[in-house]
Amino acid sequence: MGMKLKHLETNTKIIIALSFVLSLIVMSPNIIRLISMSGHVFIGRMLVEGASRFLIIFFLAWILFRINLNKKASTSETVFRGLAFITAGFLISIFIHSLLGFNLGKMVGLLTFQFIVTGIVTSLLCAVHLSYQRQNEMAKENERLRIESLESRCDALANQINPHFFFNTLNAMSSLIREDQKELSLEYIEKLSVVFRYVLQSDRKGLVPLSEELDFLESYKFLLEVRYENKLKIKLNVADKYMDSGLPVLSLLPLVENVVKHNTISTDSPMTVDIMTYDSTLVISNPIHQKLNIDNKIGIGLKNLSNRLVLLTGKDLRTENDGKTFRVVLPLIHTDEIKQG
Amino acid sequence: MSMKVLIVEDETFAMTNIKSILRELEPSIDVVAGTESIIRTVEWLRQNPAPDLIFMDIHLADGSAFNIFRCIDVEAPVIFTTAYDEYAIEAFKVNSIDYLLKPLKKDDVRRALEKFRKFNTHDTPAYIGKITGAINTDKHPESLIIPVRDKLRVVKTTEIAFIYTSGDDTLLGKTDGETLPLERSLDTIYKSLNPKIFYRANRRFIISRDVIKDITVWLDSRLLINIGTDTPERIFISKNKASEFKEWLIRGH
Repeated sequence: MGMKLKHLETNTKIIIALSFVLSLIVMSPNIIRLISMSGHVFIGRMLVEGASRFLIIFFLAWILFRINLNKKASTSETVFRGLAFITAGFLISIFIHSLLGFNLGKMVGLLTFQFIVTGIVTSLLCAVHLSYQRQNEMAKENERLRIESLESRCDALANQINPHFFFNTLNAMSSLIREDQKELSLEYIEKLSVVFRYVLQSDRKGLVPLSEELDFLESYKFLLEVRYENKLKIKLNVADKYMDSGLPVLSLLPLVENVVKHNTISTDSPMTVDIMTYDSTLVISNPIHQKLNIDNKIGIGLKNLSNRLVLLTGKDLRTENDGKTFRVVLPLIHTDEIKQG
Repeated sequence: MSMKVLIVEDETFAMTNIKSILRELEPSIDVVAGTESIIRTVEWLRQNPAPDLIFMDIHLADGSAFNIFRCIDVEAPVIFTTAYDEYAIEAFKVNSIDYLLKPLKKDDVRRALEKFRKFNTHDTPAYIGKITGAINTDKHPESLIIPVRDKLRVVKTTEIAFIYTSGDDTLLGKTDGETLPLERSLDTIYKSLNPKIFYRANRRFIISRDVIKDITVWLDSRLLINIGTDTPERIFISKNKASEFKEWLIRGH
């Protein structure tokens, strides 16, 4: 009901105007005849008949417009209702016609034609309008989806370039330059650009060879070890035979970030992260030195990685926690298992 | 008259960075210490006179620097430094608490120094009050942080049986019988406890509702409370407070 009323508000004037124009056109033969026969003895009755038919057609057109524009009704419902109203209008006209004493036979043809035309024109006009509306909506929807997809890509990137990491790294760089450590500063900038490039390009990659992830890790590790000095060490123990095995791009970044986020890394309590291959898996383990954080949001990064793994490989990661050591076990996909493209 | 500054920062290069900037701006500034963790900062503040100013990074080696304010009463003004922390920065802005963004800009540090030069020691408690107010999002925290030797102990409020002060020292008694020394006055602690559960029995005791085993009425109308675990003294509620206590017991507030 609400929809119908809304349509009324926006389209009312247009519908009324269209109905009026349509009635004029449909009744034009009658109008011309009436004008040409202005002196006729039955002109009074003819005018009444003409006016009543005009009104019937006008209201019929108006009702048909409303029925056809009602998106909620099914096509069969619309057709049925339309035909019902057309028939009703037709019968009322005939009734008035004979009531006024006119001979039916001559007029039936024109009458039928007028009602059919009214029905056809209203439904045609409405069909055109609705199809135009639908096109518009589809275009809007497409635009919306495009924007959403861009936004989510943007978000994914923004989330991957951790702002904490970014600004802390810049701060460290500021310090290096202040201390006149030219060589170290230059190397720092080089490694930082490698990291950024990898993160920005990760969008389009799915599975990458382990060697690629480790190359990235080399640069990322450098940046972290400069910032944390000898308080953080990342040790690699990867067998050569696994270098070509596949894993999702940017698997290692969130895992290492997690270690830094949740564990104490200080002179009193230095941290070592061990990354090693074992039996077609990549294991990232660290001793647990939990930070004192009253508000702890664990697991979002891990969950994302898990989702990506399942999507890309069908296999999931595993975590092991015995209170002393925390381990994340990632499945490595053999080269022959990786699908092309 | 040189300003004494404590720098609380866990990243080595960030520490040298701010030291260099301070040296460039005001060579007379004396950086008395650099601490990198909550526990080390709390330890230093307990063992040394309060500095004139503290530069404090929000994220420290062993957790959020805000925990320091939950452990002890900080008696120096604090300027926070952060690389990026939307929520903290919002809270700072709203409460007019000073902060610096990393990478540190020399001008920002200069402005901060100028402002705190004019700071009066009388202004400090109010300023720290703003910080603790901004930090405490929940009025009644679920746990207390207690520095014990070289560790930080986290004690859930459900594990607290009583808190006792002899005037000189304050002690926290746990439901399992263990006792821990506390740094804060009974008044201060009571403010952060849920009054529905904890009752200020007398000047020496705060007790938890959950440990009250039985109540004995003495001849002089005092109430003796038995809480099941050992206490340094007996817990008495005075004649005057007896009815208030009974109401609290029954009504729950």
